[in-house]
Amino acid sequence: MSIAKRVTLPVLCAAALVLEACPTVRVPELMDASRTTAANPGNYPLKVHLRSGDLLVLSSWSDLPGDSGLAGRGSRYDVRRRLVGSFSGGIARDSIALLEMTRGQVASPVGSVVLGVYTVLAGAVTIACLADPKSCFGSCPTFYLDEAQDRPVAEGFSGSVARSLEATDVDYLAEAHATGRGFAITMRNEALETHAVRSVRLLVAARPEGGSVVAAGDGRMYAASEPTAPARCESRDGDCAALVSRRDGRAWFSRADSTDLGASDSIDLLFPAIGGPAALVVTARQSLASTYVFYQSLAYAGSRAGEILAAVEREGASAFGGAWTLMHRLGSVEVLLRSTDGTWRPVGAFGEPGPIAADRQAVPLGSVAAGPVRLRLRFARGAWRFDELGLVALGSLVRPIALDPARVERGGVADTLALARLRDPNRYLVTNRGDQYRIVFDLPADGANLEFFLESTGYYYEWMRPEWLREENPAMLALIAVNPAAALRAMAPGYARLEPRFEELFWASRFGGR
Amino acid sequence: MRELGMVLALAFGVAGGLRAQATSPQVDVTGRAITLLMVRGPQEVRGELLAVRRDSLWVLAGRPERVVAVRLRDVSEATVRRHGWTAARGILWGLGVGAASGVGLAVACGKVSCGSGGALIPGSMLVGVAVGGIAALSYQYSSRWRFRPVTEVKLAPFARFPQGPPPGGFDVLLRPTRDSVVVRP
Repeated sequence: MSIAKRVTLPVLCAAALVLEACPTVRVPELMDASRTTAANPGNYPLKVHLRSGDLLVLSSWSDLPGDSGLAGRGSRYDVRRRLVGSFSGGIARDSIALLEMTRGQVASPVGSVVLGVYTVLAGAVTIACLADPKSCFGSCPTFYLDEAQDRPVAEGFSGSVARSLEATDVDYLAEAHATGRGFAITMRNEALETHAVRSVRLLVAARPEGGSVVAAGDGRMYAASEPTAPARCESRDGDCAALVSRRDGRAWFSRADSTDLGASDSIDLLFPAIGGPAALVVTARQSLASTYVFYQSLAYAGSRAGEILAAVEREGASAFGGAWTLMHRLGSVEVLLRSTDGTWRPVGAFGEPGPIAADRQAVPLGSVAAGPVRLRLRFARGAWRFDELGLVALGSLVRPIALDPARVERGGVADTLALARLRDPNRYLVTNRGDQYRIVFDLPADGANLEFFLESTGYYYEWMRPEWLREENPAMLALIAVNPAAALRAMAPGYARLEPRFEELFWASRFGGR
Repeated sequence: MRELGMVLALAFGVAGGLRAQATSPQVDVTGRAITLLMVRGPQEVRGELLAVRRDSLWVLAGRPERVVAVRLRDVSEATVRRHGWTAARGILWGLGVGAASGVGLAVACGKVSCGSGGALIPGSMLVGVAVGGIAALSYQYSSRWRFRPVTEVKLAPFARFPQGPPPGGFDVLLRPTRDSVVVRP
């Protein structure tokens, strides 16, 4: 949708709605019977009050010659104002008591202005959000399946906000169901960002009998049993088992601490005995806490943001280590296993940057002892949304087949240049807001028996926005650099104010113009 | 675009419906609704303004209907219906826009699995009611003309019989029920 359409449509709608919100006031004006009736402003009928008490409502009328009366057509009402019938003819002047004209006015009480402004704002936000949901609710390169073009199934390399931070991201495509030898996915850039995509590959592996393939955080893949739901899930807020027992989009989450975004939270899980090598399978996505911290940090950097990002390019994340400490604190879920002696032992971590699409990762636990398995997840309060937490028995390592794109289409037309760039590991496909590419892969076997993972490599640059420059704050920037924990405490009240409606009204903040 | 159309249709539907309700017939053949604040007798008289003279006015009031005649000097203030936008309609407008917006946001939210779609509609409706409530105060105030002091010249245009009582008096207006009564001053 072009900018002109985006602006024009809401404005036209708003104007119409504001006019709709203004009531019409009918102001009666009495005239002596001797006055001429030629002038009656507006489109209202003329009311003729007769001396008998009856009323004539005339839709058309004219003066009779010699000022003897009126002629007209309309309706006649008796004193009880019951309709007597239609009227057509002359009316003697001396039978007329009064003439009544009606003047229409559009009243503009303050209420109309209030409702008009509200309607305009609500309409504009809603229309903008419907036209481009991701500009309201998300960011980063996103991927869509052909059969679900309205919902991203993966987001690529969300943490790679500079070239030096280029990374490879592997996302499990839980909803991908291919039949035959073809598979397509659409990559979109819907944010105020420039994406540099080095490669997009499809990793496929044969689905094991009665199970699935799971990917660990280090990229290794395993054959695994189907996940077993926890027998018990205890959070600070109470029982969470129902929400995390299966992947259904209903996620458990907690509110962030309003005094410290780094405040710790935990979930305790109890699984039935499994024995042998096992893994915790986590399907989750980040809340918007990390998004808030990242963009608030950019806002504090203000006019220095470019300089800082350039330093990150030269020196890597260490150039602004405090910021990465913040992001790591919010972007990691520590997994602990309860030993037979009652102590909690760290066994791994889950981390998937980005608040848009949930990813599934396995956290290998090693060989667990016989008996129930007790796990604790430790994470920053309010930073995560857990959709599924399940225990699987791990099988052998799986080597997936990595598929390069076979075709790339843009606007329904083959784009050989984009294809060449995605297939060449030394070049990037650079995309800007609004770009989208349909990437087609040729499968080595019938897709019905395969598990799919998307591997994307690249980085992206945020476009600076004027709003960010207004919040430049060198003191907060320094605090982030030297004392990240204190910075998380300082940012907590601001996030707490936004949090209840942040998911819904993401666009309304400085981040919303994405 | 289908969702966009849905939201617009809902918003315009609510607005149009309310506007239609608020707009009285093209021409009222009866008198305007009037409320009289009295300095003596009953505290308040409400009904349809029938006629007004230099020293008296007549109101068709109550159920069962009765014609109440009032001395103008006993009236401290008269309010006459100006338009049909009442407080309730202001709140309904806000609620309608809030609901339409909430539906739209929930649809948009669902497209990217934002996970909070369920709270959007009630939340948006609450905001709409709050805004409508503010507007309602204004509508409530502007929906009436207030006259103080009360005179024949000011009120006559709003009467069913601006020329004064009909020749046969008002008895003919009352429905022929046992309870109908004409109250004389």
